Amino acid sequence: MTDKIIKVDMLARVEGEGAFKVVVRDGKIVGTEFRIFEPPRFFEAFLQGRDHTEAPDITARICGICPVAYQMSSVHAMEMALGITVDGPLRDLRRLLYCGEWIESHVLHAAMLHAPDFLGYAGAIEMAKDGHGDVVKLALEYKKAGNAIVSFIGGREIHPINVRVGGFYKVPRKADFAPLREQLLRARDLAETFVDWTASFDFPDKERDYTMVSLAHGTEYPMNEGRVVSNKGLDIAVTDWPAHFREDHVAHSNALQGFMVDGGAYLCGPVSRFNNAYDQLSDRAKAATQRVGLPRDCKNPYRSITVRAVESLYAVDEALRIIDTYEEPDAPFVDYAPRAGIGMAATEAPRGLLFHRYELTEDGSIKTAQIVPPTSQNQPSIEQDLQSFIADILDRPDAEILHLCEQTIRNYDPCISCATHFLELDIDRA
Amino acid sequence: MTAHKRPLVIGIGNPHAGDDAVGLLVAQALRRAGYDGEVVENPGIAADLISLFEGHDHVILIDACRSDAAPGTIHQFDANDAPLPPFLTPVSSHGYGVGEAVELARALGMLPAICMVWAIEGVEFGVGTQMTPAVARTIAKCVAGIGDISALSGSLPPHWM
Repeated sequence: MTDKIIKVDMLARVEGEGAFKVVVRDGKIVGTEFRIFEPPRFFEAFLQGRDHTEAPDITARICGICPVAYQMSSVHAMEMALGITVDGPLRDLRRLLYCGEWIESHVLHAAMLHAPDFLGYAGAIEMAKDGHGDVVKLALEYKKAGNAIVSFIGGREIHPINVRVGGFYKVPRKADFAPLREQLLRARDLAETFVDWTASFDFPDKERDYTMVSLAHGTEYPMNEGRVVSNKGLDIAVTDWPAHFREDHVAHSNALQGFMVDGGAYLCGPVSRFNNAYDQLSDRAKAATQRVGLPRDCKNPYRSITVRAVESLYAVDEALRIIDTYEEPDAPFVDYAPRAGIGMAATEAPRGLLFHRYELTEDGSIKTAQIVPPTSQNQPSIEQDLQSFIADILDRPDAEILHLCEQTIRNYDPCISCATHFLELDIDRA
Repeated sequence: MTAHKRPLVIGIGNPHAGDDAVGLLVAQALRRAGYDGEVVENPGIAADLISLFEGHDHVILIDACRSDAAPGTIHQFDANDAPLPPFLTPVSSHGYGVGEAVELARALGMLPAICMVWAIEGVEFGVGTQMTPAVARTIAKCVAGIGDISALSGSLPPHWM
């Protein structure tokens, strides 16, 4: 093989760049168009004709960061179609697995992708080089606790393989949890520090009166199940989701955008969960919230970075609670016979509500699949944020506007957000 | 020679995105060939890559890339020699990938003593697409190449020789 360096100026895995177009007339914004990549459409077609048991593993491939979310929404939807209920220790293990993913995803996004926006760096590398190396190392160590949970329950860190319809292929013995428990106890201290760090930033003084949509569960912070609620009075069963929400094609993007049936945009994700389910946070998470002055009624989307840190702390707490109360189940999964049916489920991916709907044939193969990811639901809200938040800085240099746009989009932790500079900004000033 | 002294090989990519799967396929082929060092597959999450570096002084990262070079060209970089070229900064789905992992590890003093990056020139990265034949042919070359590198520092299974 040669050992030659060739200049390469394009990117691997370019799954679509973000683009934001602003039309300005007479100093006022008269139009905005936001476009990002949306991967699940391929998978909806790919699933058709496959056996229902393949859905968890196939949908896990949609996102390298939140495979558990896709697995959880798919298995819950399948179980509804098949008429089975998974509860007790198996339900707890699913929640534990989800805790791991929340920690992994939130810490990665907050520390590596979003924090540099607040501290004035181009990215985490520049941040690490300029005196913030210790906090970057803290985040790497903290994130490992999430990876450890996913690896322990899911079988491996990336694209877990232990999840199946009805439960798991294998379940851990209670005694096996000891090293993970010790790691989580250490991570809890890191989590507290991390909340404080994210709360120390200067936040743009901007708010909007969002319709905040999330799952809600009477006794626990929403993850795997619950009713779909909003801060504006919505309170429906997940099976009523199609009657209250819709996905539209918009002319400027090949991705679908999520709206409420009345055409209104809505917000899903950490800030919505925090507002709708604050009471279900752990005492430690609530104490951290109060310590850093995070408003109970949080309408500033830039504070989502601290909300993510609080949710991560909660996830560590919740993981420890589950481990401490775990009793080994009689069987690793609930057995069942395939049948025809329709199943729907929503779970809380780190970045928001993830809805799945499947129609199964009598032999258990998938006739239709619908996957509504949080990013497509949040796209209209992102557009409205951008339009609202840059209106008063249109006279500033484009670079400054671009920075605020990217920072704003990263509030949502959408798929595209990992790129340091991902947005093509087109300001049409005519 | 103990297994952990062989290079850690990290294959990176997306199995559903055409040529982007090549790093993962090299890792899988390496395992099938009986490589007795550690082999890991990763979608290209920088934070996880840095964690994987820990405890290893010799790492080979294999990823796909795209430029104006011919499909199947294997670009090799010694990360300790110089900063990696911009193409190793992917815009992947949350990837924040190889380029960032290496540069962040460098900034944190966590870069392995030997850190090679092999970037395989691809042309088709669409979700649901097939791998380009020229890219698929590099898999065997990479497996052989890793065997050559390992041969420099210890005995190898017979089928490597």
